[in-house]
Amino acid sequence: MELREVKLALSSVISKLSLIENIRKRLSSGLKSISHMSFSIAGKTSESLFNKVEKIKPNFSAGGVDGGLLTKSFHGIDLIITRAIGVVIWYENGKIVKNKRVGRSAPLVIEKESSNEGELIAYASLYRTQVEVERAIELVQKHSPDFLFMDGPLYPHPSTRMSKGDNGRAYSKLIKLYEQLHKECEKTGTKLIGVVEDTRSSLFSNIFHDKILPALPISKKARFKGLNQKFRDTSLLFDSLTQGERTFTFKLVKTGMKYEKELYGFYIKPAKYDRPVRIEFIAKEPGKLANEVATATYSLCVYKSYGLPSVIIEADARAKLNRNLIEYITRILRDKTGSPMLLNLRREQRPL
Amino acid sequence: MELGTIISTLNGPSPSFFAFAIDRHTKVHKDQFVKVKTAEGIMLAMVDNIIKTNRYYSRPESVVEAENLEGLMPVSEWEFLVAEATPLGVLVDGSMHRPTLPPSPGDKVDVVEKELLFTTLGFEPTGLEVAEVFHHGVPVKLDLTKTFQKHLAILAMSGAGKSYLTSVLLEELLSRGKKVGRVATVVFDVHGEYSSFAESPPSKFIDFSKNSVCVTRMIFPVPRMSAARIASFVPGMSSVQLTELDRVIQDHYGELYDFKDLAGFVADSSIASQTKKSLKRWLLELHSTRLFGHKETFFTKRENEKEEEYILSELLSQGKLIILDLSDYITNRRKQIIVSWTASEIFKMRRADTIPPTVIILEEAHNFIPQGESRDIAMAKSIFETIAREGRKFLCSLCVVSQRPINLSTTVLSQCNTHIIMRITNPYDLDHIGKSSEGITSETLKSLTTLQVGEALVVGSAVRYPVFIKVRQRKSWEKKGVELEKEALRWEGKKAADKKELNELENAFV
Repeated sequence: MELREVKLALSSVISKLSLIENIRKRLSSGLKSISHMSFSIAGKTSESLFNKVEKIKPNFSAGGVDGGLLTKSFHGIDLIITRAIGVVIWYENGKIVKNKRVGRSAPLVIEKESSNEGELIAYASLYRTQVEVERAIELVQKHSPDFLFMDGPLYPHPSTRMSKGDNGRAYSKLIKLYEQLHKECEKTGTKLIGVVEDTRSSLFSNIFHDKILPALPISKKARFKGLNQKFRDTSLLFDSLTQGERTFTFKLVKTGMKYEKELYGFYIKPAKYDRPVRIEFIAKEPGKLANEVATATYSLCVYKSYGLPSVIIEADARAKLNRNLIEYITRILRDKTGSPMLLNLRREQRPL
Repeated sequence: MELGTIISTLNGPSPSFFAFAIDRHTKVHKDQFVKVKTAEGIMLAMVDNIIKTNRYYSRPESVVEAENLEGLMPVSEWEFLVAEATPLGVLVDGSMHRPTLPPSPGDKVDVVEKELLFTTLGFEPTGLEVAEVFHHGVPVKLDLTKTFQKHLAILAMSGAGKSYLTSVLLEELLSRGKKVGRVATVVFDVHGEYSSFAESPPSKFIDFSKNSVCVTRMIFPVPRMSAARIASFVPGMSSVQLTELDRVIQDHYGELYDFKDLAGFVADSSIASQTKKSLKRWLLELHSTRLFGHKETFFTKRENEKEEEYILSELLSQGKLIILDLSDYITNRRKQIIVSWTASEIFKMRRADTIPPTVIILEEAHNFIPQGESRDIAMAKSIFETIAREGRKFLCSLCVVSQRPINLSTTVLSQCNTHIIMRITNPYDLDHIGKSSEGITSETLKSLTTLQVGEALVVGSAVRYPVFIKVRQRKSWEKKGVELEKEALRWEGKKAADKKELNELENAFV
């Protein structure tokens, strides 16, 4: 009886998913059909909806920064363990001639008393990003690469924005750090790029429905009739973009950054079997830089099913923290203090 | 010198296993000894395996799909060497103990000093220097007593360097001074490989000929043989025949006779005609081997010198080598008789303490002491099994050399407390060695198949831990055999010369 109910519930999800998937596919196919049409969304120059990206043998230097993060909640306190590592690779004619690492491998460990899990997650995220941006500043000051790829957007995620307490202070500090990074990049001529891999954003989808669709000629518009469903951008673009293509450049909004007016982005599909990633960059005149940034990103991609630039993969591998580290640190803390504050949460100690 | 750092793995570090990440710019080899400080003392370990890792090449799907991986990623930065080591013991107050505590992750692994390795492996400054320890350059000086008293087995496939190693051992035995103790050595030389020890070598080699004799021919004394001993040379003699033969021998006690004479005594006796006929036939057949006579004689011969005659006990003296060259004896039976009689006599004399402690080296031992063969086929098996079991007490030591360990008597092999094993690839032989040699791990066993000529593993009482060695250069002269190509060319020339001669002869007649 219970199994039948589960089956019924599942079949309802399946029908809904099938319906949405059908709409998504039709929308994707519609987008493909108008991919050559030009739009002037970013304001100053017009681009096609989708644009080919050139793949070259890299002849530049590229930096990448990524961070590793572990959190552990105990009975009395929370623990945040993080580190950020930067890597710089100098390429000549598609080959590595030199590479450097920036940052120590020893992680930072801090204790925190959070009132709830959400607050801890937000603080940990802000703290990790702070460490990452600090590392990026260090990297630019030391090596001034031609491109610097950050793992994530070029601004704090709006969900971490808080006005009060530690989180509020951490948010403000992070904003300042991003602005400092931007200044350092301006000084050295480094092109700062944010690589957003698992975005839930619907920015492109909104622009399409709100601005592009109404501007389409009637003949083209018919194709999209009844397709009002909005999708996450990466789902919508999953099979409408083909490998080596990017979307037009669009403006990023509500970031809270001073350089918001110069903050642009596009989606690119560098790997045949992977979803598109959002690339962000800062430019007064986005037209030329968009192509340059897209080419650098695409040319540094190695895998067919993992579309991230090499420097980000390398930085990620170097920064990743092993879960065993928590056990190791916990053991040391318990040995030295014996405090009941370090008892595990009850949910981790269930007898069955 | 630091070699690396112990890492935490699924099964280690433990008292019986640890792995360590090898520092960049240092070299660690498989089968190398390393040391690490533990709570118990200095732990000595042997590197069983070395693994190279690289995260960029760990997932096959990523490797296959990657385009220009080496061009875009710093892949070489991720290449690490991880060594897996087996702890052998812990040095506490100068003596080795079984490790009972593991080292800690993060502990530094170091090179073992030569002096420490020398003493830890149980080598002696006055020992037999036959080789060097792999990767360490430490001289392998095997203690004479530990190596030979409880017998030695040298096992390897053909061409792996058994005879070379045996020659090096002989050099060491012959070079020992009076003060450190010398033994008499006898080699049953099936292929005539050691006869060069008894010859004057070219100037660049050490001359061992003064301490070595090569026996080319021998006569065994029939009057000293009991009926039972004679029966051991004659397969199928019945108990009635044995009793009758014993009676005839008793009747002629104190006389000098050979087997032909003995056959005559049998013919003249009152033995039943059928028994008489059989006994006569066997005795004449033994006589025809030309190995038996009135008295014991060992004929030795040096190059350009006259043949000399000795008895065995005269030849057996300390620091001397007797080479019994069996290469001219074609039939297995004659070889079996020589080996069987000589070994029995040596053992008998050692029991009576009339000769010095003796080491008997038996080449192609699987032919003389085979596993599973009856006494009729392997006449020498019985005496060698006796020496293997009891020789230790009477200081009559055995060194068996074989290329087919699986065919070697397990009684003998199990009594050989030291094994020197060279390259072996036959899976049956490997399995047999794994079962009969103590202290060999499965990893070590696998290494035997990859040993090069002259490389060996020593296990057993001569060394405290199994150790891979590289046999040292020979100092004695090695008489090289004729090369196939040169001999083939010689024959080509001979054929042409014969043809030319024939033509000339024909022309002369015409």
